Amino acid sequence: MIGVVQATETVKLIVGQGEPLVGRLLMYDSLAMTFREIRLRRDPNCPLCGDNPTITELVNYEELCGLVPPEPVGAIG
Amino acid sequence: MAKTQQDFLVAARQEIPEVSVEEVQERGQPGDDFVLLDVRENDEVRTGYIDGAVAIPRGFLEFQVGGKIPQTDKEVIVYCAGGARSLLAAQVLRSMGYDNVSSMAGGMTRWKDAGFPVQRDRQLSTEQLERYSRHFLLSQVGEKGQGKLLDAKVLLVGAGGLGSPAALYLAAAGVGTLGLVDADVVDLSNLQRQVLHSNDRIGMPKTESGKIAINALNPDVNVQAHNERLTTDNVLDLFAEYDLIVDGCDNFPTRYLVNDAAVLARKTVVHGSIFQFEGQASVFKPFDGPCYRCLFPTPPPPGLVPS
Repeated sequence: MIGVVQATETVKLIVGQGEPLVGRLLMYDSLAMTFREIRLRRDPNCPLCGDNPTITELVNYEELCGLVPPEPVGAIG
Repeated sequence: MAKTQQDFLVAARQEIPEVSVEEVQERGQPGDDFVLLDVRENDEVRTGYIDGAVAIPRGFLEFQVGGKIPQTDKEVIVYCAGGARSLLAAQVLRSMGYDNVSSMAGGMTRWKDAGFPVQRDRQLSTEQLERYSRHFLLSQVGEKGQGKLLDAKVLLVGAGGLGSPAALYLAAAGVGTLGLVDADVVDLSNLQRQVLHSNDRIGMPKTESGKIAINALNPDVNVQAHNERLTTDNVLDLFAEYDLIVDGCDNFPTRYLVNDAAVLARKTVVHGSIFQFEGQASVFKPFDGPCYRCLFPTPPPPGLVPS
């Protein structure tokens, strides 16, 4: 279901028609068979796309997600 | 006495003013002040039309004009191949209440002879015209939209649960280039949901298996198999080759990598994620809307939330 929603959104974006899910999160519950939607806004304090971004290059994503410990800082001397 | 072709044309000329191709050219791009209406058949329009023209084959005129030209007080200049059908079509329009209608004398033939610019959509093969014929019935897609789909390059991150249906539907719709990035091989336990793969391809890289499935469905699609993990080293080079990213990955490090790289490279991400019976989808268009980090600035602690 979600994959087909993604395909539909992709086709809309390519053809330039309709209202894509920009600024909206569609939530699907297959057991209840319900679709809910919440409005989203760009966060001006977002470290990546905010007004004063602090992330300006790619980082270590395994480390970001706590899957590997940060690399130890080499001892000086 | 039965009327002849000449009788029809003579009567139409008495009723409908004619304008020259030079006059039409001088008017510039059709828009708010006037509509340029092409009443030739679809196969004639395919050979070239005037930029900005609205196309309605003469046989469909009465049925479609209300939808395409809703205001009857709008100025309409009608053209066809030689200037005869447009006169008759203009007569019909006038009887439907369009008061300000004229016909372009000499039609497309004279327009071309004058050396004026001719617009041509992407040329579709006979097979493509049939394959995508249902798209042409949708005014929001049409041959123009199909051309955009065929020119589009979409990268699918993950050829698994989300990427499988997405890839098949995009392939069916005629997206010209589909990239698949995935380092896994097909496993029997995948087949309960990953509909891109099949029993006889267990053990094959998912990108290769996906390519077989996509081209079996639609040989038009150029499938790029990137049989590798998406990493900080390859992500920006990969994204640079594509217009849109469809994120169907199954882990947080890749999701943040896709998001960060897409914002840095200004690529729109069509996001999706699922867990058990629930799923969510959104479109992250950098700086037009939020990104994934606007929603979730930091990842959940490992082990707390399944990916």
